[in-house]
Amino acid sequence: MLASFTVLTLDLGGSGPIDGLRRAAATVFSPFRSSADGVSEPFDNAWDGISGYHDLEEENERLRRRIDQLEGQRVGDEVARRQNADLKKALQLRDSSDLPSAAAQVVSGPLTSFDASVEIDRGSGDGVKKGMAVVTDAGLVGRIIRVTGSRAAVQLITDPAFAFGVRLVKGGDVGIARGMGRRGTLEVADGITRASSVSRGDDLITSGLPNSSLPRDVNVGRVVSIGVTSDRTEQTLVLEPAANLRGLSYVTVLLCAESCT
Amino acid sequence: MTGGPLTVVRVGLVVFAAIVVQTSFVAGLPIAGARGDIVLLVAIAAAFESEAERGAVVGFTAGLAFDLLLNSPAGLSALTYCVIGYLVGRWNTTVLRTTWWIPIVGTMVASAAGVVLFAVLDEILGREVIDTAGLPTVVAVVAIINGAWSGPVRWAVRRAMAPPARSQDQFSLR
Repeated sequence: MLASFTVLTLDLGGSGPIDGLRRAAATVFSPFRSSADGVSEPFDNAWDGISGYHDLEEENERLRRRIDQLEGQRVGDEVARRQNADLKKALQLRDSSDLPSAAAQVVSGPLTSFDASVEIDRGSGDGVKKGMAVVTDAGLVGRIIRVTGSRAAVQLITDPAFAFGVRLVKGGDVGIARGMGRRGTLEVADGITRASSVSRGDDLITSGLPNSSLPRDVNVGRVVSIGVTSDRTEQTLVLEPAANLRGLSYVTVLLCAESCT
Repeated sequence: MTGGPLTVVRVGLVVFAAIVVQTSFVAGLPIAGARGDIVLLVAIAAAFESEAERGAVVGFTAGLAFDLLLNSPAGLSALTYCVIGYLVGRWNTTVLRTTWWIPIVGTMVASAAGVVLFAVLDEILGREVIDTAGLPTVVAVVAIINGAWSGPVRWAVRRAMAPPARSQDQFSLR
């Protein structure tokens, strides 16, 4: 037990040797896990098909309705996008779509019931580094926390240990978002004053503060409930992530580790 | 761990294999979002097949190795599995008459206790990763899956430890 407490103390203090041990363990297990993943993949797929059949039917129906809505918005969005691109060019601004990126496949989901990370098939050999942002077309997924030669671990935005700056699209207020674990949501408990006008359904994007490893203006999620802090000075927002973190298959790593803004 | 270097190597291989099985097979088959914990099961099996001290040592080693692959603080699983291994070993010495179902039920109870202990330690460390509303589901799923895997894992751990006097399944023979 003393040894456990010692290791815990070292790791919570951000000790270098533990990080080195983590990288070594990931490298040692990597080839065995890759081989075993190849064997287990058909079983995993079959299990997903069995356990998720009802959910898939509901999701299919919901997505059909969503496609109809989006078709209506598409033309208007295209015009706005062109205008936006012209303005950015004129003002020499850049956004996350201009950053170099690498597509990656999610090869492993959370390892335990309490784990909030996934593994992708890109590593240091592909230019992936610790701290890089991981996104899908829908929005922010997480950030790279560990890298080996051919794989990398991604800390999901729902991990309570992951905090980052967000900005309300409507109003521009900046706050700090933090994951809420297995609930699958995020909470913004700092930065949004009671004077700010926020309503359910409002979108939040990354704030892209100076020296942030996350690029600015990446979609994070949508407000699903609003409350107040215990000292009643600020609002608390609960966000539903824009990216579907439960069914991740392919993601994009933004190859920019520092000063992405 | 006592028992000679070969025993250490054999038990190390079982721990290694358990981690590969956990990460590649068990983690990919969630039930209601929860996953079994075969690495914890190795600690419990070691305690059932030997004594409290060995259960604690195997639990610590297996937990620490697993911690290095997880995003949680290193030492959290090690502490949890070490305590559970020790408690199961202590409890096992108090069992005078055994039947085939006692290790299975014991494994389920110990697995449930392991999940709760992990959640409590996680809360104490202030990480708050665990949704307390969903905890009963996780406890139930881990208990059931670990109970189902208890036979083969106990067999593997028994063969790895292999003290001749204890190499037979004392539970199933009585």
